[in-house]
Amino acid sequence: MSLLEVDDIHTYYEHSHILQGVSLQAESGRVTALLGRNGVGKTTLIRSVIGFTPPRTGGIRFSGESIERLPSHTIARRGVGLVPQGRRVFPSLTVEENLRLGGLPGRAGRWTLETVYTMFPRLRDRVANYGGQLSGGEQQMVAIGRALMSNPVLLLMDEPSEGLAPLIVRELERTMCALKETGLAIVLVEQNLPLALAVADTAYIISKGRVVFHGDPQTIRTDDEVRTKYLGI
Amino acid sequence: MGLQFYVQNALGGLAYGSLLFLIASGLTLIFGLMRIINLAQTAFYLLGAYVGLTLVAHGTNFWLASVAGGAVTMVLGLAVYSAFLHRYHADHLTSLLLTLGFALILDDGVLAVWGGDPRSIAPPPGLAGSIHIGTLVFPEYWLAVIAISFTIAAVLFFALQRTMLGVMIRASVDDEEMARGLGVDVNRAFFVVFAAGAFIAGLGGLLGGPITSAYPGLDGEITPLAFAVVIVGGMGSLTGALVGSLLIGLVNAFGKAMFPELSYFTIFVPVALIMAFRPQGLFGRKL
Repeated sequence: MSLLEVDDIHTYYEHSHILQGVSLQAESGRVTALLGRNGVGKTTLIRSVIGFTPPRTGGIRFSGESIERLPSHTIARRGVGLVPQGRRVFPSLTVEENLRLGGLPGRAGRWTLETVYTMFPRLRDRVANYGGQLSGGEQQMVAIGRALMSNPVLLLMDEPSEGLAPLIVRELERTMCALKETGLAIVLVEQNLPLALAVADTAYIISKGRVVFHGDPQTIRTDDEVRTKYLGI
Repeated sequence: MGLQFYVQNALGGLAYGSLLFLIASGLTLIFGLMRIINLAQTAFYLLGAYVGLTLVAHGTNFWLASVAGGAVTMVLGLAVYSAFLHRYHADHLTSLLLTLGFALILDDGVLAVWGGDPRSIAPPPGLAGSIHIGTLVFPEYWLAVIAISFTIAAVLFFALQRTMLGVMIRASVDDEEMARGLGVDVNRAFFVVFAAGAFIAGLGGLLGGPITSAYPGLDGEITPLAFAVVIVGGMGSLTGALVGSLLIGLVNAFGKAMFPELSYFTIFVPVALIMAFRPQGLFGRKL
Protein backbone atom coordinates (compact mmCIF):
# COMPACT_ATOMS: atom_id res chain seq x y z
CA MET A 1 0.00 0.00 0.00
CA SER A 2 1.35 3.40 -0.95
CA LEU A 3 1.21 6.46 1.28
CA LEU A 4 -0.88 8.33 -1.28
CA GLU A 5 -3.13 6.52 -3.71
CA VAL A 6 -5.08 8.54 -6.21
CA ASP A 7 -7.60 6.29 -7.88
CA ASP A 8 -9.30 7.28 -11.12
CA ILE A 9 -10.31 10.80 -10.09
CA HIS A 10 -12.36 13.17 -12.20
CA THR A 11 -12.12 16.80 -11.17
CA TYR A 12 -14.06 19.72 -12.63
CA TYR A 13 -13.89 23.50 -12.51
CA GLU A 14 -17.53 24.44 -12.97
CA HIS A 15 -18.28 22.60 -16.20
CA SER A 16 -14.73 22.04 -17.44
CA HIS A 17 -13.68 18.46 -17.02
CA ILE A 18 -10.03 18.94 -16.01
CA LEU A 19 -8.88 15.59 -14.62
CA GLN A 20 -10.33 12.75 -16.63
CA GLY A 21 -9.53 9.66 -14.63
CA VAL A 22 -6.11 10.16 -13.09
CA SER A 23 -4.50 7.48 -10.93
CA LEU A 24 -1.12 7.68 -9.26
CA GLN A 25 0.81 6.65 -6.17
CA ALA A 26 3.41 8.36 -4.01
CA GLU A 27 5.72 6.65 -1.52
CA SER A 28 7.51 7.75 1.62
CA GLY A 29 11.11 8.82 1.11
CA ARG A 30 10.59 9.29 -2.61
CA VAL A 31 9.98 12.22 -4.92
CA THR A 32 7.14 11.69 -7.38
CA ALA A 33 7.34 14.18 -10.22
CA LEU A 34 4.27 15.31 -12.18
CA LEU A 35 5.26 16.64 -15.56
CA GLY A 36 3.40 17.99 -18.51
CA ARG A 37 2.69 21.16 -20.41
CA ASN A 38 0.81 24.10 -18.96
CA GLY A 39 -2.88 23.65 -18.38
CA VAL A 40 -2.97 19.84 -18.45
CA GLY A 41 -4.21 19.52 -14.88
CA LYS A 42 -1.09 19.17 -12.71
CA THR A 43 -2.10 21.94 -10.33
CA THR A 44 -5.66 20.62 -10.33
CA LEU A 45 -4.33 17.29 -9.14
CA ILE A 46 -2.54 18.99 -6.23
CA ARG A 47 -5.73 20.96 -5.47
CA SER A 48 -7.74 17.73 -5.51
CA VAL A 49 -5.44 16.06 -2.99
CA ILE A 50 -5.45 18.98 -0.52
CA GLY A 51 -9.22 19.34 -0.91
CA PHE A 52 -9.39 22.80 -2.51
CA THR A 53 -11.09 21.32 -5.57
CA PRO A 54 -12.36 17.89 -4.50
CA PRO A 55 -12.79 15.30 -7.23
CA ARG A 56 -16.34 14.68 -8.39
CA THR A 57 -15.71 10.95 -8.68
CA GLY A 58 -12.87 8.64 -7.80
CA GLY A 59 -10.96 8.12 -4.55
CA ILE A 60 -7.93 9.53 -2.80
CA ARG A 61 -6.43 7.44 -0.02
CA PHE A 62 -3.80 8.81 2.33
CA SER A 63 -2.18 6.47 4.88
CA GLY A 64 -4.91 4.00 3.95
CA GLU A 65 -7.85 6.32 4.67
CA SER A 66 -10.15 8.03 2.20
CA ILE A 67 -9.64 11.79 2.24
CA GLU A 68 -11.43 12.90 -0.92
CA ARG A 69 -14.48 14.16 0.98
CA LEU A 70 -12.64 15.76 3.91
CA PRO A 71 -12.29 19.54 4.30
CA SER A 72 -8.82 20.93 3.52
CA HIS A 73 -7.96 21.78 7.11
CA THR A 74 -8.57 18.19 8.19
CA ILE A 75 -6.43 16.85 5.34
CA ALA A 76 -3.65 19.24 6.34
CA ARG A 77 -3.88 18.17 9.98
CA ARG A 78 -3.51 14.54 8.99
CA GLY A 79 -0.07 15.27 7.61
CA VAL A 80 -0.33 16.72 4.11
CA GLY A 81 1.86 19.80 3.65
CA LEU A 82 1.40 22.21 0.75
CA VAL A 83 3.89 24.47 -1.01
CA PRO A 84 1.46 26.08 -3.42
CA GLN A 85 1.96 27.55 -6.83
CA GLY A 86 2.86 31.23 -6.47
CA ARG A 87 4.01 30.53 -2.88
CA ARG A 88 1.05 32.32 -1.32
CA VAL A 89 2.97 33.68 1.65
CA PHE A 90 0.55 35.72 3.78
CA PRO A 91 1.48 39.38 3.27
CA SER A 92 -0.12 40.57 6.55
CA LEU A 93 1.86 38.04 8.59
CA THR A 94 5.50 38.25 9.56
CA VAL A 95 7.88 35.48 8.55
CA GLU A 96 7.65 34.01 12.02
CA GLU A 97 3.85 34.23 12.04
CA ASN A 98 3.70 32.52 8.65
CA LEU A 99 5.82 29.71 10.05
CA ARG A 100 3.89 29.46 13.32
CA LEU A 101 0.65 29.26 11.39
CA GLY A 102 2.15 26.34 9.48
CA GLY A 103 2.77 24.63 12.82
CA LEU A 104 -0.88 24.97 13.78
CA PRO A 105 -1.79 21.30 13.18
CA GLY A 106 0.40 20.63 16.23
CA ARG A 107 1.98 17.46 14.90
CA ALA A 108 5.16 16.54 16.73
CA GLY A 109 8.32 15.89 14.78
CA ARG A 110 11.69 17.21 13.80
CA TRP A 111 10.43 20.50 12.37
CA THR A 112 10.23 23.48 14.70
CA LEU A 113 10.98 27.19 14.24
CA GLU A 114 14.55 26.38 15.24
CA THR A 115 15.11 23.57 12.72
CA VAL A 116 13.46 25.57 9.93
CA TYR A 117 15.80 28.50 10.66
CA THR A 118 18.72 26.07 10.63
CA MET A 119 17.70 24.88 7.18
CA PHE A 120 17.05 28.43 5.91
CA PRO A 121 19.42 30.68 7.91
CA ARG A 122 18.36 33.67 5.82
CA LEU A 123 14.89 33.58 7.38
CA ARG A 124 16.35 34.13 10.82
CA ASP A 125 17.27 37.67 9.77
CA ARG A 126 13.79 38.24 8.45
CA VAL A 127 11.61 36.96 11.31
CA ALA A 128 9.87 40.29 11.84
CA ASN A 129 9.49 41.18 8.15
CA TYR A 130 6.08 40.89 6.58
CA GLY A 131 5.43 38.39 3.81
CA GLY A 132 5.06 41.14 1.23
CA GLN A 133 8.55 42.51 1.95
CA LEU A 134 10.46 39.38 0.94
CA SER A 135 12.31 38.47 -2.24
CA GLY A 136 10.99 35.59 -4.34
CA GLY A 137 13.64 33.24 -2.97
CA GLU A 138 12.87 34.20 0.61
CA GLN A 139 9.16 33.73 0.00
CA GLN A 140 9.87 30.26 -1.32
CA MET A 141 11.82 29.44 1.83
CA VAL A 142 8.89 30.66 3.93
CA ALA A 143 6.46 28.60 1.85
CA ILE A 144 8.56 25.46 2.30
CA GLY A 145 9.29 26.13 5.96
CA ARG A 146 5.62 26.85 6.61
CA ALA A 147 4.64 23.52 5.09
CA LEU A 148 7.33 21.66 7.05
CA MET A 149 6.23 23.20 10.37
CA SER A 150 3.25 20.84 10.42
CA ASN A 151 5.66 17.89 10.28
CA PRO A 152 3.89 16.42 7.26
CA VAL A 153 4.40 12.92 5.96
CA LEU A 154 3.45 14.03 2.44
CA LEU A 155 4.62 17.29 0.90
CA LEU A 156 2.86 18.67 -2.18
CA MET A 157 5.10 21.11 -4.04
CA ASP A 158 3.64 23.04 -6.96
CA GLU A 159 6.24 24.77 -9.13
CA PRO A 160 8.64 25.56 -6.30
CA SER A 161 11.36 26.81 -8.70
CA GLU A 162 9.07 29.30 -10.44
CA GLY A 163 10.67 32.74 -10.61
CA LEU A 164 13.81 31.76 -8.71
CA ALA A 165 17.39 32.58 -9.68
CA PRO A 166 19.47 29.58 -10.84
CA LEU A 167 21.58 29.64 -7.71
CA ILE A 168 18.48 29.46 -5.51
CA VAL A 169 17.12 26.63 -7.66
CA ARG A 170 20.26 24.63 -6.93
CA GLU A 171 19.69 25.28 -3.22
CA LEU A 172 16.11 24.10 -3.65
CA GLU A 173 17.33 20.89 -5.24
CA ARG A 174 19.58 20.19 -2.26
CA THR A 175 16.70 20.98 0.10
CA MET A 176 14.38 18.53 -1.64
CA CYS A 177 17.01 15.78 -1.56
CA ALA A 178 17.57 16.44 2.14
CA LEU A 179 13.82 16.27 2.81
CA LYS A 180 13.57 13.01 0.92
CA GLU A 181 16.30 11.60 3.16
CA THR A 182 14.09 12.26 6.18
CA GLY A 183 11.50 9.86 4.82
CA LEU A 184 9.11 12.52 3.55
CA ALA A 185 7.04 11.71 0.48
CA ILE A 186 7.17 14.56 -2.03
CA VAL A 187 4.80 15.09 -4.93
CA LEU A 188 6.50 17.62 -7.17
CA VAL A 189 4.91 19.58 -10.02
CA GLU A 190 7.71 21.25 -11.90
CA GLN A 191 8.25 23.01 -15.23
CA ASN A 192 12.00 22.98 -14.73
CA LEU A 193 12.67 19.56 -16.28
CA PRO A 194 16.36 19.22 -15.30
CA LEU A 195 15.45 19.97 -11.68
CA ALA A 196 12.52 17.56 -11.69
CA LEU A 197 14.53 14.74 -13.26
CA ALA A 198 17.44 15.33 -10.89
CA VAL A 199 15.37 14.81 -7.75
CA ALA A 200 12.58 12.50 -8.90
CA ASP A 201 12.51 8.77 -8.17
CA THR A 202 9.47 8.23 -10.32
CA ALA A 203 7.66 10.42 -12.82
CA TYR A 204 4.22 10.81 -14.30
CA ILE A 205 3.47 12.79 -17.42
CA ILE A 206 -0.02 14.23 -17.64
CA SER A 207 -1.59 15.34 -20.87
CA LYS A 208 -5.12 16.68 -21.30
CA GLY A 209 -6.22 15.46 -17.89
CA ARG A 210 -4.87 11.93 -18.22
CA VAL A 211 -1.69 10.12 -17.22
CA VAL A 212 0.12 9.28 -20.47
CA PHE A 213 3.42 8.10 -19.06
CA HIS A 214 4.53 6.59 -15.78
CA GLY A 215 8.01 5.36 -15.15
CA ASP A 216 11.63 6.00 -14.48
CA PRO A 217 12.75 9.63 -14.84
CA GLN A 218 15.77 8.24 -16.66
CA THR A 219 13.47 7.17 -19.51
CA ILE A 220 12.23 10.72 -19.96
CA ARG A 221 15.78 11.97 -20.01
CA THR A 222 16.80 9.56 -22.76
CA ASP A 223 13.60 9.02 -24.75
CA ASP A 224 13.29 11.85 -27.25
CA GLU A 225 9.89 10.68 -28.42
CA VAL A 226 8.32 10.90 -24.96
CA ARG A 227 9.84 14.35 -24.47
CA THR A 228 8.71 15.82 -27.78
CA LYS A 229 5.29 14.25 -27.70
CA TYR A 230 4.22 15.17 -24.18
CA LEU A 231 6.54 17.86 -22.95
CA GLY A 232 7.13 19.76 -26.18
CA ILE A 233 10.89 19.84 -25.68
CA MET B 1 -16.83 80.92 16.89
CA GLY B 2 -14.64 80.76 19.96
CA LEU B 3 -12.40 78.08 21.34
CA GLN B 4 -15.32 76.45 23.10
CA PHE B 5 -16.96 75.83 19.72
CA TYR B 6 -13.96 73.92 18.45
CA VAL B 7 -13.30 72.01 21.64
CA GLN B 8 -16.97 71.13 22.00
CA ASN B 9 -17.27 69.84 18.45
CA ALA B 10 -13.91 68.11 18.49
CA LEU B 11 -14.82 66.25 21.65
CA GLY B 12 -18.35 65.53 20.43
CA GLY B 13 -16.95 64.33 17.12
CA LEU B 14 -14.42 62.07 18.80
CA ALA B 15 -17.07 60.65 21.12
CA TYR B 16 -19.43 59.99 18.22
CA GLY B 17 -16.53 58.60 16.19
CA SER B 18 -15.71 56.26 19.08
CA LEU B 19 -19.23 54.90 18.90
CA LEU B 20 -18.89 54.51 15.15
CA PHE B 21 -15.76 52.47 15.77
CA LEU B 22 -17.72 50.02 17.92
CA ILE B 23 -19.98 49.40 14.92
CA ALA B 24 -17.47 49.72 12.10
CA SER B 25 -14.78 47.50 13.62
CA GLY B 26 -17.12 44.52 13.34
CA LEU B 27 -18.37 45.63 9.95
CA THR B 28 -14.90 45.86 8.46
CA LEU B 29 -13.62 42.59 9.96
CA ILE B 30 -16.74 40.69 8.93
CA PHE B 31 -16.39 42.04 5.43
CA GLY B 32 -12.64 41.45 5.28
CA LEU B 33 -12.99 37.87 6.42
CA MET B 34 -16.32 36.62 5.10
CA ARG B 35 -17.06 39.14 2.33
CA ILE B 36 -20.41 39.69 3.98
CA ILE B 37 -21.75 43.23 3.96
CA ASN B 38 -23.65 43.19 7.22
CA LEU B 39 -26.38 45.81 6.97
CA ALA B 40 -27.76 44.57 10.30
CA GLN B 41 -24.67 45.73 12.22
CA THR B 42 -26.31 49.03 13.25
CA ALA B 43 -29.54 47.20 14.09
CA PHE B 44 -27.39 45.17 16.50
CA TYR B 45 -26.40 48.48 18.07
CA LEU B 46 -30.04 49.53 18.37
CA LEU B 47 -31.08 46.21 19.88
CA GLY B 48 -28.24 46.46 22.40
CA ALA B 49 -29.46 49.92 23.36
CA TYR B 50 -33.04 48.76 24.01
CA VAL B 51 -32.05 45.63 25.89
CA GLY B 52 -29.69 47.75 27.96
CA LEU B 53 -32.14 50.54 28.74
CA THR B 54 -34.78 48.01 29.78
CA LEU B 55 -32.35 46.38 32.19
CA VAL B 56 -31.33 49.77 33.56
CA ALA B 57 -35.00 50.65 34.07
CA HIS B 58 -35.29 47.49 36.17
CA GLY B 59 -32.40 48.55 38.33
CA THR B 60 -29.44 46.86 36.64
CA ASN B 61 -26.08 48.58 36.80
CA PHE B 62 -25.42 50.63 33.62
CA TRP B 63 -22.17 48.85 32.70
CA LEU B 64 -23.57 45.42 33.41
CA ALA B 65 -26.61 46.28 31.29
CA SER B 66 -24.31 47.31 28.41
CA VAL B 67 -22.52 43.98 28.54
CA ALA B 68 -25.86 42.17 28.72
CA GLY B 69 -27.03 44.13 25.66
CA GLY B 70 -23.91 42.96 23.87
CA ALA B 71 -24.45 39.36 24.97
CA VAL B 72 -28.09 39.25 23.83
CA THR B 73 -27.13 40.79 20.50
CA MET B 74 -24.28 38.32 20.08
CA VAL B 75 -26.56 35.34 20.65
CA LEU B 76 -29.09 36.69 18.14
CA GLY B 77 -26.37 37.57 15.65
CA LEU B 78 -24.85 34.09 15.87
CA ALA B 79 -28.27 32.52 15.41
CA VAL B 80 -28.77 34.55 12.22
CA TYR B 81 -25.24 33.73 11.09
CA SER B 82 -25.48 30.01 11.75
CA ALA B 83 -28.95 29.59 10.34
CA PHE B 84 -28.64 31.75 7.23
CA LEU B 85 -25.63 33.91 6.61
CA HIS B 86 -22.79 31.38 6.75
CA ARG B 87 -23.94 29.97 3.43
CA TYR B 88 -23.47 33.25 1.60
CA HIS B 89 -19.83 34.19 2.07
CA ALA B 90 -18.60 36.28 -0.83
CA ASP B 91 -22.12 36.29 -2.26
CA HIS B 92 -22.56 40.03 -1.93
CA LEU B 93 -26.05 40.43 -3.29
CA THR B 94 -27.59 37.61 -1.28
CA SER B 95 -25.84 38.54 1.97
CA LEU B 96 -26.74 42.19 1.44
CA LEU B 97 -30.43 41.39 0.96
CA LEU B 98 -30.43 38.94 3.85
CA THR B 99 -28.85 41.37 6.30
CA LEU B 100 -31.07 44.21 5.07
CA GLY B 101 -34.05 41.93 5.76
CA PHE B 102 -32.82 41.20 9.26
CA ALA B 103 -32.18 44.89 9.88
CA LEU B 104 -35.80 45.64 8.95
CA ILE B 105 -37.11 42.78 11.08
CA LEU B 106 -35.05 43.94 14.07
CA ASP B 107 -36.20 47.51 13.52
CA ASP B 108 -39.86 46.52 13.45
CA GLY B 109 -39.32 44.14 16.35
CA VAL B 110 -37.94 47.00 18.41
CA LEU B 111 -40.93 49.13 17.41
CA ALA B 112 -43.35 46.36 18.41
CA VAL B 113 -41.73 45.65 21.76
CA TRP B 114 -40.66 49.12 22.89
CA GLY B 115 -42.90 51.45 20.91
CA GLY B 116 -41.94 54.33 18.67
CA ASP B 117 -41.17 57.06 21.20
CA PRO B 118 -37.53 58.08 21.38
CA ARG B 119 -35.92 56.98 24.66
CA SER B 120 -33.37 59.27 26.15
CA ILE B 121 -30.78 57.43 28.21
CA ALA B 122 -29.11 59.03 31.20
CA PRO B 123 -25.37 58.63 31.66
CA PRO B 124 -24.48 56.38 34.59
CA PRO B 125 -24.34 58.10 37.96
CA GLY B 126 -21.00 59.72 38.56
CA LEU B 127 -20.43 60.57 34.91
CA ALA B 128 -23.38 62.89 34.37
CA GLY B 129 -21.45 66.07 35.08
CA SER B 130 -18.90 68.12 33.22
CA ILE B 131 -15.30 69.05 33.78
CA HIS B 132 -14.62 72.77 33.62
CA ILE B 133 -11.20 74.01 32.64
CA GLY B 134 -11.22 77.78 32.48
CA THR B 135 -14.16 78.63 30.27
CA LEU B 136 -14.10 75.25 28.53
CA VAL B 137 -16.64 72.56 29.36
CA PHE B 138 -16.00 68.84 28.86
CA PRO B 139 -18.94 66.49 29.44
CA GLU B 140 -17.53 63.63 31.50
CA TYR B 141 -19.51 60.99 29.75
CA TRP B 142 -18.07 61.89 26.35
CA LEU B 143 -14.60 61.45 27.74
CA ALA B 144 -15.64 58.12 29.24
CA VAL B 145 -17.03 56.87 25.90
CA ILE B 146 -13.80 57.82 24.15
CA ALA B 147 -11.75 56.04 26.82
CA ILE B 148 -13.90 52.89 26.66
CA SER B 149 -13.80 52.71 22.87
CA PHE B 150 -10.04 53.14 22.83
CA THR B 151 -9.74 50.39 25.41
CA ILE B 152 -11.87 48.08 23.26
CA ALA B 153 -9.78 49.05 20.23
CA ALA B 154 -6.62 48.19 22.17
CA VAL B 155 -8.04 44.79 23.11
CA LEU B 156 -9.00 44.12 19.48
CA PHE B 157 -5.56 45.16 18.22
CA PHE B 158 -3.90 42.95 20.79
CA ALA B 159 -6.09 39.99 19.86
CA LEU B 160 -5.44 40.49 16.16
CA GLN B 161 -1.70 41.21 16.33
CA ARG B 162 -0.49 39.18 19.28
CA THR B 163 -2.54 36.00 19.55
CA MET B 164 -2.60 32.84 17.45
CA LEU B 165 -6.30 33.43 16.80
CA GLY B 166 -5.36 36.84 15.41
CA VAL B 167 -2.73 35.27 13.17
CA MET B 168 -5.37 32.82 11.90
CA ILE B 169 -7.81 35.66 11.23
CA ARG B 170 -5.27 37.83 9.41
CA ALA B 171 -4.14 34.86 7.34
CA SER B 172 -7.76 34.09 6.42
CA VAL B 173 -8.35 37.70 5.39
CA ASP B 174 -5.22 37.49 3.18
CA ASP B 175 -5.92 34.14 1.56
CA GLU B 176 -8.71 32.04 2.98
CA GLU B 177 -8.06 28.97 0.83
CA MET B 178 -4.37 28.83 1.70
CA ALA B 179 -5.21 29.17 5.39
CA ARG B 180 -7.48 26.13 5.08
CA GLY B 181 -4.70 24.26 3.32
CA LEU B 182 -2.46 24.83 6.36
CA GLY B 183 -4.98 23.39 8.78
CA VAL B 184 -6.84 26.53 9.82
CA ASP B 185 -10.48 25.83 10.56
CA VAL B 186 -11.56 29.03 8.85
CA ASN B 187 -15.21 28.50 9.78
CA ARG B 188 -14.32 28.77 13.44
CA ALA B 189 -12.50 32.04 12.80
CA PHE B 190 -15.61 33.31 10.96
CA PHE B 191 -17.81 32.38 13.89
CA VAL B 192 -15.56 34.10 16.43
CA VAL B 193 -15.30 37.29 14.36
CA PHE B 194 -19.03 37.47 13.73
CA ALA B 195 -19.67 36.94 17.45
CA ALA B 196 -17.17 39.61 18.46
CA GLY B 197 -18.58 42.07 15.90
CA ALA B 198 -22.15 41.56 17.08
CA PHE B 199 -21.14 41.73 20.74
CA ILE B 200 -19.22 44.98 20.41
CA ALA B 201 -21.97 46.64 18.36
CA GLY B 202 -24.59 45.53 20.90
CA LEU B 203 -22.39 46.69 23.77
CA GLY B 204 -22.09 50.07 22.04
CA GLY B 205 -25.87 50.49 22.03
CA LEU B 206 -26.32 51.39 25.68
CA LEU B 207 -22.88 53.02 25.91
CA GLY B 208 -23.87 55.33 23.07
CA GLY B 209 -27.39 55.82 24.41
CA PRO B 210 -26.66 59.00 26.37
CA ILE B 211 -25.22 60.48 23.15
CA THR B 212 -27.47 59.12 20.39
CA SER B 213 -30.54 58.18 22.49
CA ALA B 214 -32.56 55.26 21.10
CA TYR B 215 -35.46 55.21 18.65
CA PRO B 216 -36.60 53.01 15.77
CA GLY B 217 -34.80 54.20 12.68
CA LEU B 218 -31.64 55.24 14.52
CA ASP B 219 -29.84 52.30 12.95
CA GLY B 220 -30.77 53.48 9.48
CA GLU B 221 -29.28 56.88 10.29
CA ILE B 222 -25.99 55.42 11.50
CA THR B 223 -25.58 52.88 8.69
CA PRO B 224 -24.37 55.35 6.02
CA LEU B 225 -21.84 56.78 8.47
CA ALA B 226 -20.60 53.33 9.46
CA PHE B 227 -20.14 52.43 5.80
CA ALA B 228 -18.39 55.73 5.17
CA VAL B 229 -15.95 54.71 7.92
CA VAL B 230 -15.30 51.34 6.31
CA ILE B 231 -14.77 52.90 2.88
CA VAL B 232 -12.49 55.65 4.16
CA GLY B 233 -10.47 53.32 6.40
CA GLY B 234 -10.26 50.41 3.97
CA MET B 235 -12.24 47.19 4.13
CA GLY B 236 -10.79 44.59 6.47
CA SER B 237 -8.44 47.00 8.26
CA LEU B 238 -8.93 47.56 11.98
CA THR B 239 -6.52 50.51 11.93
CA GLY B 240 -8.58 51.91 9.07
CA ALA B 241 -11.77 51.50 11.09
CA LEU B 242 -10.27 53.40 14.02
CA VAL B 243 -8.83 56.26 11.98
CA GLY B 244 -11.91 56.36 9.72
CA SER B 245 -14.28 56.45 12.69
CA LEU B 246 -12.54 59.39 14.28
CA LEU B 247 -12.31 61.22 10.95
CA ILE B 248 -15.95 60.68 10.08
CA GLY B 249 -16.96 61.55 13.64
CA LEU B 250 -15.10 64.85 13.47
CA VAL B 251 -16.27 65.73 9.96
CA ASN B 252 -19.83 64.89 11.02
CA ALA B 253 -19.67 67.07 14.11
CA PHE B 254 -18.09 70.07 12.45
CA GLY B 255 -20.17 69.65 9.29
CA LYS B 256 -23.40 69.66 11.27
CA ALA B 257 -22.30 72.65 13.34
CA MET B 258 -20.99 74.78 10.49
CA PHE B 259 -23.14 73.74 7.51
CA PRO B 260 -26.19 72.08 9.07
CA GLU B 261 -28.10 72.08 5.80
CA LEU B 262 -25.21 70.24 4.08
CA SER B 263 -24.41 67.66 6.75
CA TYR B 264 -24.49 64.62 4.47
CA PHE B 265 -22.58 66.50 1.80
CA THR B 266 -19.68 67.24 4.13
CA ILE B 267 -19.33 63.53 4.95
CA PHE B 268 -19.74 62.05 1.52
CA VAL B 269 -17.50 64.46 -0.35
CA PRO B 270 -14.43 63.03 1.42
CA VAL B 271 -15.84 59.52 0.83
CA ALA B 272 -16.27 60.22 -2.87
CA LEU B 273 -12.76 61.64 -3.10
CA ILE B 274 -11.30 58.57 -1.39
CA MET B 275 -13.21 56.28 -3.72
CA ALA B 276 -11.96 58.21 -6.74
CA PHE B 277 -8.29 58.47 -5.76
CA ARG B 278 -7.70 55.65 -3.30
CA PRO B 279 -10.43 53.07 -3.81
CA GLN B 280 -8.86 50.64 -1.32
CA GLY B 281 -9.27 53.24 1.45
CA LEU B 282 -6.57 54.75 3.65
CA PHE B 283 -5.39 51.47 5.17
CA GLY B 284 -6.91 48.86 2.86
CA ARG B 285 -4.91 46.61 0.61
CA LYS B 286 -4.85 47.27 -3.13
CA LEU B 287 -8.05 46.15 -4.82
